[in-house]
Amino acid sequence: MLKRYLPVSLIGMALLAVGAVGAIADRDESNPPGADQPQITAIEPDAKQSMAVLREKRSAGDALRDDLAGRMDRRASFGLNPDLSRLAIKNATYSVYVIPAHGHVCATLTDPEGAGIICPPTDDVVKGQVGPATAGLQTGGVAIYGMVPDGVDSVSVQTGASESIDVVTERNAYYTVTPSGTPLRTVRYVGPSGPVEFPIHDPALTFEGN
Amino acid sequence: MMHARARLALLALIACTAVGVLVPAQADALVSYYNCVNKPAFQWCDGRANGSFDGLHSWDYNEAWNPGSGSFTVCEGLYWPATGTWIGVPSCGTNWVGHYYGVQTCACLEVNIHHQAGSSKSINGFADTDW
Repeated sequence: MLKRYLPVSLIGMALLAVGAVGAIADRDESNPPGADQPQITAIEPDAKQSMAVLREKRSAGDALRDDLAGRMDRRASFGLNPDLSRLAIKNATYSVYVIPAHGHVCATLTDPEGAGIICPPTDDVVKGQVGPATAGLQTGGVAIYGMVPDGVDSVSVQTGASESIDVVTERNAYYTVTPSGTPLRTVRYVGPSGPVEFPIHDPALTFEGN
Repeated sequence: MMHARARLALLALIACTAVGVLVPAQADALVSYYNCVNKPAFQWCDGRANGSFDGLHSWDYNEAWNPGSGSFTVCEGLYWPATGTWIGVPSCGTNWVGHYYGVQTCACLEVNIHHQAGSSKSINGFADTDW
């Protein structure tokens, strides 16, 4: 009997082995890093502890536009949940929201059409080691935004040879726009783990190549 | 008889496994994975030349990330070659950045990524469209 089933069993095992290899291949570095995370249903304690904006009761004004929230639900990187968003900085055209995720906290800069988003690990947020995000605006200016933990009241945007702009943080976030043609250097601030400095460039500043 | 049933059940199990394993999951949306190895800084790496999907489409989400170690700035953008313009605003972040674009209906767009590290780096991109 064993002899009769052996060929069939061997074929079955071979197929399973192929499947296992395929599954491993699917998880190579080509996969977006936060693609497989389930959406969180509650803000994680570490994030809440280090960001006052996430400890505040969520109000109607904290909600993202419906169309954008829907797209984020469909493509919820790092398990982000737009239903847990908090509005940090509101502007006429661009606004910054903080969105909790799984082991990450996201900051999104919304524009009339869509939104750019960064999702640094929560550990980096807690330590005050989150780099800024930039967005090249239609006006030619560059929007600079990011997140900071509690206790960081301002960040310094270094421009030109020696100029700097002090940007006051609001609800654990910062946002500023530099005019077109402004040379960009770094963003600095002093977080819980000490001073940090991150280079910034105009997103549209590129050279030819493919 | 019993052996025949057992054999049939085993074959059915194997067939189901084979179908589940060998036929890739079909997503609702068209997706593109693309990457550039040891790419110089500030040079766009596009999904048309370097991707699994070789063509222009109505992309409405684009993502760039650092697949390796260390920390550097990665950027993404949605380019319309016919007009030489960018859709929305190209954006950058440290090691990972994503962008939800408004609904795009023109199958004419090219997804791009680049990095801003001090030396050549590998970068990966991912894009999808609901259309």
